Amino acid sequence: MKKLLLIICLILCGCTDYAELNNLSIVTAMSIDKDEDNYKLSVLIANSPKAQTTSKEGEAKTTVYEGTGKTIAEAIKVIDKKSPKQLYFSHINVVIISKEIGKEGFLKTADWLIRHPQTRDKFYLMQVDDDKASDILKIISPLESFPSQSIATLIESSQNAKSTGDTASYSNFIGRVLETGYEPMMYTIKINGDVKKGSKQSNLETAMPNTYLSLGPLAIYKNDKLIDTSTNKETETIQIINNEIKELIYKIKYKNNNINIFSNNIKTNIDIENKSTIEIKVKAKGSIYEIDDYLNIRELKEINNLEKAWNKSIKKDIEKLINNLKYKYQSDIFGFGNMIYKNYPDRWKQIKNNWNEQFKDLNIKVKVNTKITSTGNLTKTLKEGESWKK
Amino acid sequence: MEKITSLEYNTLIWFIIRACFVELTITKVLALTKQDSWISILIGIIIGLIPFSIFEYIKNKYPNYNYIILNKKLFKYGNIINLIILIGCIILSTCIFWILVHFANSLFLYKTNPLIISIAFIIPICYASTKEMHIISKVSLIIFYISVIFNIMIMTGLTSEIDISNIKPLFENKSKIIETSLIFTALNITKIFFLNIIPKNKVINHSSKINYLTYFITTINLLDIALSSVCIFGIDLATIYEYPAFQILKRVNILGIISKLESILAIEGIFSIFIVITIIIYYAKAIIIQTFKPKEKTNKYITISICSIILILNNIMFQTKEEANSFFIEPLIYIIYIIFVFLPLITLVKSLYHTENIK
Repeated sequence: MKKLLLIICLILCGCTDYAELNNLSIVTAMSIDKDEDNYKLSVLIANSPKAQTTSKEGEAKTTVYEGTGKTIAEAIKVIDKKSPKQLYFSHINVVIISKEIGKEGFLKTADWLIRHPQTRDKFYLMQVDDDKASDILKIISPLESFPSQSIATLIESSQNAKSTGDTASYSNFIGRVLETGYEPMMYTIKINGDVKKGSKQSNLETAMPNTYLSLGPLAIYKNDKLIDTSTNKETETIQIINNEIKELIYKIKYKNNNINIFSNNIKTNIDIENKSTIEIKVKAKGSIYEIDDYLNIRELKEINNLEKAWNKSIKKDIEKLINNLKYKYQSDIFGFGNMIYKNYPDRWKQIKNNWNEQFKDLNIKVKVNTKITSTGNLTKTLKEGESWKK
Repeated sequence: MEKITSLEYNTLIWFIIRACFVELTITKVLALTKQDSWISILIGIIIGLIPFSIFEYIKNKYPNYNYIILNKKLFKYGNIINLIILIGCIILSTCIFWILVHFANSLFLYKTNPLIISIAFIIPICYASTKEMHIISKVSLIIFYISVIFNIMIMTGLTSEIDISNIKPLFENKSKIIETSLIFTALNITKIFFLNIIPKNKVINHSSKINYLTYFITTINLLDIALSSVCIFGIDLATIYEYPAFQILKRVNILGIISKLESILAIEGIFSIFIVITIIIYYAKAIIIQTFKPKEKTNKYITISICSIILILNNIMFQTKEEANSFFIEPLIYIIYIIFVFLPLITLVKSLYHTENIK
């Protein structure tokens, strides 16, 4: 009897909280928009019955519920009343916020997502630029069953970024906001095409989908507020500095040639030299990927000159980006301030209240060391071959 | 009491030191000394050698007696000392039980009434406490193997997330390092006192060297947990979580295949608390038996009574989490040092001048 009681206690202690899977609405994505003074929250339900059966023509497989409230919790309460099943947040994969939320300051809405016992902090956080965040959840992809999965796949398989996922994660963003001398950034996502068409099953029936989602450039934040969105080139340079590049195809202009260099070996180190000098060192090895005109690539001198041009181009991009961070965005996304705080805490105490101005005066040295190790499958350019024929 | 093996004895040291670290100590340590937490734990490990050595000395000097009998033999008012220890046992076990119930309530059973959780937990604890020490130590040995596997999984799954620069700048909170070290020692090391219920001659191949080795392995493992929390989250993120060491478990990812393991891995922390409460109740029961010498058949009712008191106190002692936290930081630390360090110290001093053989 005692043993039976013991087993009952150990096995059934969670039964007061139990919920049947059939009675749960599993939320896999969430979007937050601003609707005047209220927050408009949309949740994407993964386990709706229609997701598990073959859809009729024109019918979407996904189910999205929307609710509006003064706070996130209030909006969730509204959705709870609409949803016949209990909302379950443990499987949230993606959270999309609108530009307005970013501008207002994301921490206002972030608390619920990190405090709720069901949520995990390793989901992706993204921002839309011009669209409504809720529209993102409605776009169905030909390759994935659910928009949330489609966005996650988009981030994870992003061709040139190996760890875009780190920058895009929710906990990374919150960590950057809280950390001393660091500013956060967030990937943007956009809808290409018409939202209405994209939310229908017919979007999957054409060889070329009418509407699809694509990853945009990085949005630059200061504290928790959106400052601006970087350009595509700046995003690529940020990824280089953050060591988030797996494969890079870098275009340079050399002797009227457009030359593309492919690199899958690129590494950046940021070191602090002294209280006011930071050094960014980039090392890259690459091979010639494409040349659109004549170039004597059999000459070692020519290859050396090409390396110098590549060096110069990367250096110029980094210096331009740093300059924009200092004066245009005024945001320390690489955590130079954090490096000063960690290595020279006394100096940081003196400058932390005036870091915006001090950041402009910070001496940032850029050293780039590139090497072209291969010319691809060809030993000369096609144009060179053509000239011999003449 | 039947004999236990040295390995079983050392697994008890492992669990006693680990109990409450994830659920309480790390939060307090991080809040007080931030990125210098690892330094305060390191100093705490060194300070902890003092009570650990006191307990080892007493055990080695009187290999045939447990601490309760020893008090009766060494002191004229030994029973009074034992009753003071009994009060300490009740207070400490209630606090640890509250930590266990609150941990389960916050993370897993947030919609369940804490009273129901506490009833569900106290019954197996009560059942285990009625068993003899050799049974408790065998259970501890089995759970130890699970614990080691879980620890390997955690370390493997978190290595890639560690950013060691997050422990910088060093000595930013140096004024609180010693205070925090004492808190760490009180909450985690001094509980080894309860192993004095097992006389040396009841441990097969008892070796102080192995005990010290286990002490260092266990405490270094705790140091690793604290370092990982700071290095993975950064101190600012780590301090906003109520259970940072649990939150890092959410990031365990083994070879990109196995993830979302936090609930399973957290069981190890719950087991540690189960074992430590069981031993404390066993200790309290032994004091009552030695002091009042009741009939043998009433022994199990003593355990049930102690568990009922813990259950009742658990539900009335702290109305809010803040009340509990403020109690854990100050009064509880003083109580622990007075009862579980100062009293054994007096025993040690007395034993130094006590040359007669104890029969």
